[in-house]
Amino acid sequence: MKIVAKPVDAVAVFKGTGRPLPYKFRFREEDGTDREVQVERIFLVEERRIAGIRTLLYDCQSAVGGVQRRYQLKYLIQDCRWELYKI
Amino acid sequence: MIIFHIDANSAYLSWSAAALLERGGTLDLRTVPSVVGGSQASRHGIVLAKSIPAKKVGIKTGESLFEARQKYPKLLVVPPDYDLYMNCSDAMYGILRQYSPLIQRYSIDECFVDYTASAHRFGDPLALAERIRERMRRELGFTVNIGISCNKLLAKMASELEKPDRIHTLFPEEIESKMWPLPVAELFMVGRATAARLARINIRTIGELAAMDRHQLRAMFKSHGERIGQYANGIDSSPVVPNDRIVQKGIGNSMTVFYDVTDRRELLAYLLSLCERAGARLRALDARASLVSVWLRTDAFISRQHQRQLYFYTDQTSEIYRAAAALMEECWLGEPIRQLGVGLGSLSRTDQEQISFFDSEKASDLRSTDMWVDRIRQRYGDGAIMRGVFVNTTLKSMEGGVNEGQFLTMGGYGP
Repeated sequence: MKIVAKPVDAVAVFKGTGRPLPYKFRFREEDGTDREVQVERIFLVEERRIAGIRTLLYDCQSAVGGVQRRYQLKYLIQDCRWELYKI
Repeated sequence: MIIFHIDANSAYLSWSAAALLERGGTLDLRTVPSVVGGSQASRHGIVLAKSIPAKKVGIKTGESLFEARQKYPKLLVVPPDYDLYMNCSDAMYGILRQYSPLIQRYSIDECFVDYTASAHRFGDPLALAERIRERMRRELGFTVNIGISCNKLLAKMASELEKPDRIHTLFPEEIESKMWPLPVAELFMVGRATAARLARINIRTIGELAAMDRHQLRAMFKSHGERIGQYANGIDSSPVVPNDRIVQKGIGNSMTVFYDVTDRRELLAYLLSLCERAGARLRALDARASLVSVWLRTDAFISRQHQRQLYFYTDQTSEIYRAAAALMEECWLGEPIRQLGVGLGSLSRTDQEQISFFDSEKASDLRSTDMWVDRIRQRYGDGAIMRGVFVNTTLKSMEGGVNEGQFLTMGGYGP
């Protein structure tokens, strides 16, 4: 996987307790088209504090264009925003 | 006693580097000649921190970015991000707190940990230091040096032995082999001036200083001499004083005048405007100062500094100015002045107070005047209310920068 670290629009489920779970997200491809991806599976959530920046890193998998692909989504807790971290 | 000293390796630079990687950057600043330095856009400012490759091309902390670029034209310069550094410092403290309640945050990138009482729980200090070092690297993305010994001084000296990402011990039986061969300037509290004076009497290593007669040291350097004599022998009895906030150790404001000042009244007015700013910053910190210093630079670029320890703590502009003006009279010999500054040190928090016999009755009145002046300025701007001397002149009623937000430095002296 390669680091892309692109900010994405996201819909997430904030449960009463526990961590937020990404539901779907939208990002812009190189050619300018918007692509929406439904988060189908989450394998692992990791809490990180690299450089004191608190983040949650999600290991996910979805069907993108008919192919199952693994990727990582990142939630930046202080900034309250989502990033497509690795694909 | 078992004391740890934890010191982040080239803190500002590696914190910026780790954050850049975390934000998706591909280049690790630590692997190329790079520095953290004041505003890149205006093309001036100084080197605040440097990478190890930058050190290898001869770049020094504190020199101007211009000088640094002359040594290495392709030098990478990143601006400082104080919020990030505060976060990194807090994260570092967060990990350490899991191992001992007695932690002194000595500066933004250094902590002392008193491990004595926690040893029965976490075991061998060396094994724990290894665990902390590993966790810092893995969880926070930067490396630290850890020094272990039986007092703060030796722990600090130990953590400075060899960098980066290392653990060192410096127990009393190791002083002779590990500390005494080092140049005397490496010793804590021995600065450039002291080292130069020691060199004149052929004291070049810490070992030679340790062997010196303490009466001779006292004669040469007063109480500071006795202190460095003890430090050279590894003696330090200061306790780890827990603090969860990093304490700012001093405030300073300075200015360059656009012409050379020769008039006494004008010079004192400039000094007053600096005192106004420094005093307001002091009050904003909820602190009082008992050390006032004045610094000036003449048109011939000769610098002079005088300082005075007051017998009380104050946060009043007028008190600060009275001391500063007296100091200015002492060190100004009538030559044209192009730059001047005022510094406040030996701070104490406002909630602790030593009452003085000699407090004037007006003190509390003045205190509330300063408070209201601060409030008016905060709401309507610095020029909204000013002292009479500034009326109908080109002088500003407050001079010097404000350092919005947390502006804490690394290292530094102080008890």
